[in-house]
Amino acid sequence: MTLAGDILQITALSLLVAGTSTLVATLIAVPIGTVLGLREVGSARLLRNILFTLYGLPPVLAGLLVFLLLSRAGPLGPLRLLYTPLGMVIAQVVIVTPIILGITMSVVSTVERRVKDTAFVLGADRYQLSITVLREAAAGVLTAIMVGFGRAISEVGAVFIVGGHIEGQTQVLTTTIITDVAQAEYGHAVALGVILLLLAAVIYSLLYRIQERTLP
Amino acid sequence: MHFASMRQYIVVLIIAAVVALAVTAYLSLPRAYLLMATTTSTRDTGLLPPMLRNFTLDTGIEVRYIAVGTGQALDAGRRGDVDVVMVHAPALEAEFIASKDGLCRNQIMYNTFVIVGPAGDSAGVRNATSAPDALARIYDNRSRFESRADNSGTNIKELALWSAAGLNASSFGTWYEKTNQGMGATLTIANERAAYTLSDDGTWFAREPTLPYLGLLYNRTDSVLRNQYSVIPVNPATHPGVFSERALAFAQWLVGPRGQSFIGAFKVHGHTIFTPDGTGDC
Repeated sequence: MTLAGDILQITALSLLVAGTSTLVATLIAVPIGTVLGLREVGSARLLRNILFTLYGLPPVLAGLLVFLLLSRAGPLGPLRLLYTPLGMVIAQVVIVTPIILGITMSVVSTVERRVKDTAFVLGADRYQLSITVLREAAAGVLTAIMVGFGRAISEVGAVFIVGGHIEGQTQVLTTTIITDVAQAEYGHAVALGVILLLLAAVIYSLLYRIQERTLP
Repeated sequence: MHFASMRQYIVVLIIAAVVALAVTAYLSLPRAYLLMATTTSTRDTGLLPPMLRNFTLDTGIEVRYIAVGTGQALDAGRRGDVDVVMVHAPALEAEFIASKDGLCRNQIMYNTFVIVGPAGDSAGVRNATSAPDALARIYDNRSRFESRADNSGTNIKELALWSAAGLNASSFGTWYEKTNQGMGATLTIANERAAYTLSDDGTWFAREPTLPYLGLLYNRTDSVLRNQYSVIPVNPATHPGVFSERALAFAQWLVGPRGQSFIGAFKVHGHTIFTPDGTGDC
């Protein structure tokens, strides 16, 4: 049987969906998180509170929301993205963005407090301050991205609802483990679980290395 | 970290995101395959993969499926998210046709509902004179029972059998547990919790080797236990854009000689699961 090919395909799609979601979420969340983290008071505070609430957004709720949006009867139905990898990415971007945003915001505002006075004494303007802060906060931002990826690759509810777990199309490691267990294919499920764990180990050790190098 | 290296990181990040998005978008291009919503029982018996392969070989039409409860499968059709549904709940199917969501209905095959439970059978289901009598015995004994509670065809049949026994499932106590899951998962739970449950015989035979604490207790071909499967293409008049012609070809293949003989010959662990009875207006 094409068991190995099937596992390979499922693994590849898991990586693609979680990786794409994390990259897109990073591009959205890091700039916004930096700006919000640098603003101490005022209107940013309310926005910050909202974002911290989204930080705890249950993934399955994000899945339901995106499902209703993308279903043909929903507002984005004409795009025909339900039961596609891109639909899964959209759901996961909704989940991962607040996580990266929240952590980036915290890290940036902590670093800002530490370096602000020194930077201004040294004659830095607002823009130069931002760059300095972001540079100092790089390790923390990387942590944010790692946490976001960890959430994306291990997430199951949203990708199940939005992806539909179609064989050869939208099956990922986590959803396949669920249906394997329903069919008592425990061996196959354990194999996929081990792959999931190995992926996490490889990616985290890679990121950890980058993080070590970027530490000031 | 230097400013230059940070810019490098950002450029790499953007390129990576664009490439990843492009690959994902490519994989998400409008599908050319027929998409079917069907029930967990047809997946859990293992019928679908070889049957769909044969259909593709005969017609060149590729089919993929999502496997959910009958209620959800029909709803996927009602939303226009799939091209065809294959389900087993005649009353719900009639509604689906009446609301113009379904184009036509071909009945394709049936199997039989069975009652399984702990091998000790403290409720005496083995001695039951009918399926409602079997459930009445479980009720009298307050033996633990796992209900799918997922609006699936099996769940709907189970509720009808309680009614036939003169009982109202909504008033049951804690012995009546609701799994809200598919057939395979519910059998696993029944096995672990030494509970009775209603299953289709196909899923039961497919799963039997992994369910050591359960036995087949009531397995008779009463007409009330007949589990009729049907295929219904989604109506293109109500849901423009569905692959109607291909869905019709699929419905016709299933009741034609190729589909029917495949279904009749399909065996799981030596048991014939489905009896072909193809007929219909598609």
